[in-house]
Amino acid sequence: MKDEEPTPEELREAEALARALDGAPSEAAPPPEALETAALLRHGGGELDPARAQALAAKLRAEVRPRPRRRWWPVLVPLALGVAVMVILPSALLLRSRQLPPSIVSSAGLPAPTAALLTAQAEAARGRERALGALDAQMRSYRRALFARLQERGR
Amino acid sequence: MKRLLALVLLFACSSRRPDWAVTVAQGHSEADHLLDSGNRAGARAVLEAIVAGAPDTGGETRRVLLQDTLFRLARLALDEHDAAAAARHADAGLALGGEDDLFVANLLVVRGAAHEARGESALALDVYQRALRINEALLQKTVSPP
Repeated sequence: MKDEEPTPEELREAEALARALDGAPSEAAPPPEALETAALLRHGGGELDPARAQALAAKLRAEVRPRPRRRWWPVLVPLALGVAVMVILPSALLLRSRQLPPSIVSSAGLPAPTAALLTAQAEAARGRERALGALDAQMRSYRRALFARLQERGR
Repeated sequence: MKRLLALVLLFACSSRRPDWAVTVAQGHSEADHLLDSGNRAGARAVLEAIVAGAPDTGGETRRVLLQDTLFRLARLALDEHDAAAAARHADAGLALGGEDDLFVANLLVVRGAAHEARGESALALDVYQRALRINEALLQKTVSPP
């Protein structure tokens, strides 16, 4: 994860620390621990071993270096999208299903006629009057299946 | 009779409602009961109310349900030896168009029977043949589905 640019406040603190190291006054206050170390380096620097003083200065800089701010969007954006999908999608589907009239059903979605029904129809189409009664009876059964299918699709 | 009147009133009030298909289902069921009890006129009234209450739009389901109801009305007319009414109902159903499916074939069957009842043998034969062609295609699909 890439560090972000320091904030103005962090820059002011860093500047104040640099001034504290130089012994100059500053408007912004660096952290107390950094001030103590800076004073130690500034006033006791001559008594310290140069290598030790350099190490302390490096530690001090590391301590006051602006901490990278946590990026929230890589976590929150997918989370928000997930919540949106979980909430909005079912709602949209529900709304859509309510808007759909039960009439939008293609004939391909209708129940297939049985062989008995088609046989009765063929007999009636050959002009056999009695076959019309058989066709009526078969259509009653088919109609029940048809309405059951339409009811399923209307839900 | 009160039950029948209530049902007809329901159809009249339910026109253009989105649950027309449900109303049609109830109507056909009621028509079955009325026919079984010998009340042909009552069944006809219910079926006619279904047609009158049909919404203006509704796609395939509207077509299918209307064609089936008109088929039943044509059948009733044939049973009452009213070939002209049977022809009228069948023509109204066929005018709704649609694919060569079960409902169109049924209407062709009753249209042929109406021709036959009026002595129009050539016309009857022509219409019956159209019905048989559709019937054969449907049977083919039923026997060997894709």
